[in-house]
Amino acid sequence: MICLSRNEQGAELLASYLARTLDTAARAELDGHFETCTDCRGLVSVWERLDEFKAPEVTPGFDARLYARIAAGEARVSAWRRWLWPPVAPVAAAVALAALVLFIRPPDAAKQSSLTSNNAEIELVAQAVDDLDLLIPLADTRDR
Amino acid sequence: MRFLFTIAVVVALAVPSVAQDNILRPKALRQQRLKQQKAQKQKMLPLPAPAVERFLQMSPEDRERALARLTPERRQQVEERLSRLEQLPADQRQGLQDVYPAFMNLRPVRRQAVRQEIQLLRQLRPGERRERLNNNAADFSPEEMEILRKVAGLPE
Repeated sequence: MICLSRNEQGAELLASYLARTLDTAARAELDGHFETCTDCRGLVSVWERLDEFKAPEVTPGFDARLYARIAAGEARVSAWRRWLWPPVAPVAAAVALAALVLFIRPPDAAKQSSLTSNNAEIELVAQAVDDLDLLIPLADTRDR
Repeated sequence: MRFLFTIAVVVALAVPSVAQDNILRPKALRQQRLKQQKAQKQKMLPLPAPAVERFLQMSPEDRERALARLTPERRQQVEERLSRLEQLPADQRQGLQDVYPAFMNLRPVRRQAVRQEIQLLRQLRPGERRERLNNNAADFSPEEMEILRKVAGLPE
């Protein structure tokens, strides 16, 4: 399959086509395909335009000024933000996740869970009562 | 005549006051008894199982709702045992405080083994219990033996 969007090697083929490193036969085959396939033609034209794009020249000393501004910005970040911010992000993510798990649950599931937990709780109580009753120290006269 | 009239007035005044006393006294007595019971309960050791203590702190309606989840036979059994536990004398309550946490520290499989052994011990007379414990000592760890001895009322 020569179609770039349906070929596993589509990206490589496109890169080779744009770099003009494809052999003549393959290039001719692709050119033929582009005439009929609007998707591939669009893709190639976008990439060709990107290739043609030339970034404007930066003024002399741009890099130095940029790095100086970044450094100044970092220095402005106050100490508490530097200490607090890193833990806040994971905590916020955890809270959001917990909220999702707790609240965005089908109502039936929540009800079922509460019911199960209540049943489990009384079973726990009943088992503990059994054990406590069993463990009551026997007096010599208290045989059951 | 005046004398009789005076007696009648005194009686007429005294009777309602006595009657009122008779009405008030049982109420006061009841309140006093309730206070005593409350104080006694506060003095009593809690049961060492938090789940049971939580259950006992529940309102009667919540308790009823929880118990309703059990089968009628199981419910009756639990209620009887709970009532027995609530009326437990202080020394036996103290005994439970020592034994139950140790029992709960055992692995579930060993807990089951200890349960079975206690059930067997309960059916024996004190002398037989001692003999059985001595014969089966090898089957239980020192911690388990301590629980069994305490429950059997046969401290070393």
